[in-house]
Order: sequence, then structure tokens, then C-alpha cells
Amino acid sequence: MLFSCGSETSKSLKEKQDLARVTYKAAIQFRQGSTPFQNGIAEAVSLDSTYQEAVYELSVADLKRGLPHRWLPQYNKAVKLDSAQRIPWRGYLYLWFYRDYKKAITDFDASDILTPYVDYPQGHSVDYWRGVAYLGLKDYKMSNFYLEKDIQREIEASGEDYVESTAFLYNGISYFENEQFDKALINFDKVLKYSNNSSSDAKYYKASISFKQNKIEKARKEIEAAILDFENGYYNQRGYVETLRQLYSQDFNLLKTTIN
Amino acid sequence: MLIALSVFLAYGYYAYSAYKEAFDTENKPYKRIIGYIDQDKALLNTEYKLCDKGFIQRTYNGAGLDAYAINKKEFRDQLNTTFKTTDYNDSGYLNYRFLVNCEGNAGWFEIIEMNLDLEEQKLNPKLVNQLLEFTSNSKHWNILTYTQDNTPYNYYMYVSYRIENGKITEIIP
Repeated sequence: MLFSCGSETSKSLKEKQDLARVTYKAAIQFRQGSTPFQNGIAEAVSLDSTYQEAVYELSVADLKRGLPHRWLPQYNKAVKLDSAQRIPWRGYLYLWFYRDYKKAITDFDASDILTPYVDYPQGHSVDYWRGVAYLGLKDYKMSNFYLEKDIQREIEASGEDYVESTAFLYNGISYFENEQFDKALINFDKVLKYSNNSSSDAKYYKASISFKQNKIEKARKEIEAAILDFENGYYNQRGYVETLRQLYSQDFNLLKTTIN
Repeated sequence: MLIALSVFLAYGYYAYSAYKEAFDTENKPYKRIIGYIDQDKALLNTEYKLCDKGFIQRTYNGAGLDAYAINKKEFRDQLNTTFKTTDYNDSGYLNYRFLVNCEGNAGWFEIIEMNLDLEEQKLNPKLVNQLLEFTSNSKHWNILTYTQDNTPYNYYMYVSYRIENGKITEIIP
């Protein structure tokens, strides 16, 4: 009750909403998931049960700390308050925190109907996320379809150098899995172009393609370069969870052994 | 000067009271930090001891990829060589939340059994026990240390297994 004053029942709706926001802002000064954080936000929600941002925030620590059975019911309360924002966002969370690619795609698809514009949950378009999710499902054709769509849109809007380099990477991997090596190479070269020629992932797949095409000497040089990039920390990764198709030292060593 | 000092002291007292009040959990819905493991009720809670007076690091989101000994691929490979997929037909998520002490020993386990819709639902007890045995094997977990002086610390970790028709299809994080 940090900032409350006067009788709760006598406050107008506007006063309660304002107080809820002040209470929320005070609460989020504390560490996420701590008791003053959670209780302060719960108090804000008790003042204004339609305060979507606060309702959502109550779910986040459960998500990050491995308590999905508590995360989802709370998160879905926020969905009811703002489905246009929270359904595509939930797709992102299903994708990364639960690796439920089908549920993620369902949520990304729903955004096509919920809003007249292309949604960008967590900074990337739903097409980018669909491309990643279909890669997880091993539906490489659909993965390429959505990643190409995302890449083309970004090029038209801002130019190729504004395209997220992992869009090229995942697009390349899906082409690689479908053995469309020419298209895969175009994408891996784009990754390298926009990452100062430093990407162990792109070089790993280039080495794999060279090997499959029986260009052994080229493959040898590429895997050596890939290992060097990996040792220097230039590999695809993300916060909180392992990324899709994350490569490890064993992967590089195995390919090197196979090539040699 | 005296007035300024009084105002300063009054503000300080107010801020302190507000801070103290914020941590008071009486009559409030959240009694513990999210993710708190009750060490008295946790499984495998007697074999090892926590160091540093029980202080636990990495409680924000668990130690993630830093925790796996060697790396996560090694963990996945070890699991694939020991886990028989033909023994079960369950589908769901199986989450193990636990602590690893400063010697790299895993204990203090909580288990959450769920269906694929993330609702609590019991899974085959043999499956749960087999994965508990695997996950609690300390050889899978790193000793983590403070960067400044290399002192090891206790940490929080969770592992979530996504299981489809008895096959582990994903390991998270």
C-alpha cells in the first residue's frame, strides 16, 4: 500500500486506474518475481483489473523460472484483455520456452486476423517467427516461404542491411535441409556479409555443402574457419534458452573428422 | 538549515518505511519469491549441503546453458544413450526444478508433471523416476563460480523435458 490514501471504495474509476499505475511503477523497481514486485503488481491489478500490462507482468517470472502450469493461466488473463498484442507474443513464448511449434504457429496465424498490420512480437515479424517455428517442425518449405516473405518485406521497407542476419541463417538452413544448396549458399553468404565475415554457423553449413558436393579441400578450409569463429564466440545463441539448431564444439569436430 | 535537515530525515524515514512495507507479505498473495524451492519438502534434500550459508545464485531464470557439464549437446547425447523410448507412451512436459551446490552436486528437487497443454497431470511414475535419476546425477552439472574471484556458488536450475508418445522431443532451456 505504498501510495494509497483515502478510502478505496470512495475513489473514482479514474483515480483507481491512476493509482494502479503508480503502484505498478513502484513495484517494478524491485527484482522481477520478488515478493514486493509480485505483491505490488497484484495490488495494482486489484485496483484496476483491466490493467493488461500488470496482469501480464505477474506471469513473467513463472515463465522464466520453469513453472509453466502457473505461467499460462496468468498469461491467458492478459490475453483476454489484449488478444491482439498477447496472442502473437504468446506464440513467441510457445516457440522458445516450450518448443511447441504448432501452438506457436497457431498464435502467429491468429495475428493475421486480429490486426490489419503485420505484428512484430519481440522485435520480429510474425513471418520471421513462423519461419523459425516451421524450421522447428521440420517443414522446410513453409519455413522458407515465411522467411523469404519476411526478408523481402524488410528489404523493401529498409534495405537488405536491415534484415536480421538470423533470418538469412534459418532460411539457409531450411534450404540446406531440402538440399537446395544454391539457395542455401546465397543465404549463408548474406549472413557472412552482414556479420563481418564472422559466423561459425554459416561457415559450418557452407562446409557441409562443399562436402556433400565433393569439394573436399574447400570444405576443409571452411570447417577450419568455422571452428575459429566458434572459438572466438561467433555462434548463434540466445538468452534464457538454447536457440534453434544451436551448434556445439562436437558438431564442428564431427564434421571436421568426416571431411578428413 | 534545521528545516532542511528535518525534511531530509522525514523523507528518509518515509522511504525506509515504504521499502520495509513493500517486503511485508502479511495479508498479501505472494509469500515467497517466484520459484522458491522449499528445501525441507524437496526431494533428494539430505545427501548434500549448500555452501555459503545457503545463499543461492541464478534464481532469476536458472543457470541455463551454463549449468550443463561440457555442454548441452553432451547432456542430450547422454540422455539419448540411457533413455529407452519404447518403454512409455506418455505425452507432456516434465519439469525438474533443483539446486546445485558449490561442489556441483544436484539435490533439492521439485517435479512438475504436465500434459502438452501445460496443465498439471500425472505421468507414468517410472518415467518420472527414470528422468529424476538421470537429471539428479551430478556428473551432468557444472560447478559455477563468481567471475571476480573464482569462488564456487550454489545455483538454481530447471530442466524441462517435452515428451511426445514416450519420446523426449525437446530439452529446455
